[in-house]
Amino acid sequence: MNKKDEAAIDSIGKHASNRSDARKGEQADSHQGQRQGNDHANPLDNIQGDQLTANKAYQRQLVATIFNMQLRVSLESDTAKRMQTDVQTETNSNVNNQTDAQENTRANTPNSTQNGTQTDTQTGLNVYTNNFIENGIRALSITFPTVEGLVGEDSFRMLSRQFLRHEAKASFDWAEYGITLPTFIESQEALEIYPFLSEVAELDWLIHCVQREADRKFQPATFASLESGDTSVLRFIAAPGLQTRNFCFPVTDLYRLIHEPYLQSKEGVLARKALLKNSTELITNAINMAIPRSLVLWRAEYKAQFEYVSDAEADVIQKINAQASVGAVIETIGTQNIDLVEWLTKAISNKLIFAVA
Amino acid sequence: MNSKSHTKPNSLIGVGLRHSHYSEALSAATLADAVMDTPNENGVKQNVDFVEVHAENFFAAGGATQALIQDIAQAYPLSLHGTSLGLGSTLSVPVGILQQFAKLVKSTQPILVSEHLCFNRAEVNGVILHSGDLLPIPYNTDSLHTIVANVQQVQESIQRPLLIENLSAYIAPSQLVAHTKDDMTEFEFLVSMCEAAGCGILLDLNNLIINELNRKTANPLELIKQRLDALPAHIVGEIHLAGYTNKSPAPPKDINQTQQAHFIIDDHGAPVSQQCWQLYQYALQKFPGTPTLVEWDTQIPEWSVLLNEADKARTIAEKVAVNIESSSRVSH
Repeated sequence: MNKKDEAAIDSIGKHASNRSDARKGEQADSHQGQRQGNDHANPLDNIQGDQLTANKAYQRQLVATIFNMQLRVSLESDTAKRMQTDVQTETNSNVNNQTDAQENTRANTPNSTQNGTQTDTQTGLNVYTNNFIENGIRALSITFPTVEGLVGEDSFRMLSRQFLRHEAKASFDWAEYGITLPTFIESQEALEIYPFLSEVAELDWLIHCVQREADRKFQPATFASLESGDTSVLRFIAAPGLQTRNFCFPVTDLYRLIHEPYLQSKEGVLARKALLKNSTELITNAINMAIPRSLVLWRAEYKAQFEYVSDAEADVIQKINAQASVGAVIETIGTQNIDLVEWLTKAISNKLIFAVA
Repeated sequence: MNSKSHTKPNSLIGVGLRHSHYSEALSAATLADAVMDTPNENGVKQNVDFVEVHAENFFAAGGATQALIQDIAQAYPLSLHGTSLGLGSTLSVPVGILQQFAKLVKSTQPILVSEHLCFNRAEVNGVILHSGDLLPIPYNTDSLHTIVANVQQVQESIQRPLLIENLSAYIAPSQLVAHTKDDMTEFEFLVSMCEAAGCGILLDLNNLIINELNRKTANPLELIKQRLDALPAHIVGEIHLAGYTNKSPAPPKDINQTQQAHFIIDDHGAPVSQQCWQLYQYALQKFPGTPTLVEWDTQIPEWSVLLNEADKARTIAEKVAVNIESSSRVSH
């Protein structure tokens, strides 16, 4: 922005501030009037009350249409009831097994007597419904890349479409949408051919979240205080996102199958075949007798890391995450017969722990 | 930040920086070219004065995106474009979201901060849902009160004025709820909003064109020019340019193809349209020196293609600036 623009925008602020102050009272008054049920003598209050109720009804109606939901009626004032009656009169509730956009327009489009207006409205609503679905599919494919890689793009689109209809979006950021996809996958009969998919989706979600965790500063010098400090007071500062989870299926192998560049290359064909064969055996074993394994996830730099650990090591990590004192963590390490020096050296060099404080 | 040529025209020219261009835009070679104002193989200088990013792509608490946005802010003057606040919503912006937005503004110190004239969420059956889209609001007094209050809340939080972008819309609110009739025009609404809230307008010329084309307006550019004539110059703080692909969503089965309304979708999926260039030249005469951004968000081309679009904008801006200067000299 050049100086002139800055000055211009600045002047808008200054210029408008007086007007704004002047209108603040008016605005507050009008909202007050609306909240009080619109039964005042002032005709302006009533008009604005109608507008506010109508605006809210419209916003609810359009969002409900996009989410393919039917509005439940729970309105109190006369005006609100009138608005709702308008909306219901305009609504055709016959929802059939059609595409998303078709379902929505059927369910919610005003039943205009003029074909032109009706088709315009339907087409307009189709745009918003399709935008929602396409944006959702794109966002889910970013969050769940391994799931998409394993089932293929078409099946992933179908899965996402169904999930978007099942799980309404409440978050502002698409990146925060999708936590229930693993559970949703489990409930889908059509996905029984992929018994491992729910766990893979869980791994994808965990990786996604770990990569968005707040940064922490790695402070190797602080580990010197382990020698002289009071271990009953000191605590290990964990890497961003450090956690353990149990998985029955070979999720790390399945992850590698999709993401490891060498396995996607010509040179890696044999290695890929071998990994696929091994994964298939592990999947069969897991189906026959599910034995969960502990996986630790953390972020050393920008990329999430994960590896299998023994149950004993998982116990230690859980202690760290529970903010136990260094003394208590060392005690757990001893109880689990883990070599303290070896564990500590590895935990620091892998940046599983960032500091002692 | 990179230094620029001394012969820069009045208008700053920027491009929308999207994921596929991050590495190229931040490569040492690109940044060196920008500093040296180096012409490309066709003898055309390819650089941008600023880049625009979507705020929500950098809402994560930490990780790679936070490092990336700091790199971008170091390399280029930044425009931060919000897409999720939905300031026309009758529900206010949650404090947590506002804090994320304000934190990003504080950490990146952008030259421009903008959002949209839209709503995006509502309470449906007791649950607040977020559509993730830019949905049109009615242009009535109560909508005005709502958006002014929300804009002021954001501005107080970020301690600077916002620019609010006019929208491309595919329905009018009154098509869904008859009582939401407009009691002012879009531009009257925008001007009143700016006066009351102390914000500015991000004038998206492509959105204006798409709306008129979808309304089947006989002479869309003339109509838009008339509207621009009525807009006070001082409230326009940025201009967006874009193109569109001419496609329509699949019609429902029970709608006869001949009855199917044909909508142009604002997909930012093509070079800036000829109508848009034409309108840009006109708009710059009205709003000289306005920072201008080329958007291209789907079917994203090579970085160099995007820069070529920015150069076209720069050429027009330079031409308009020279004309204005000549006219000014003659009149004196």
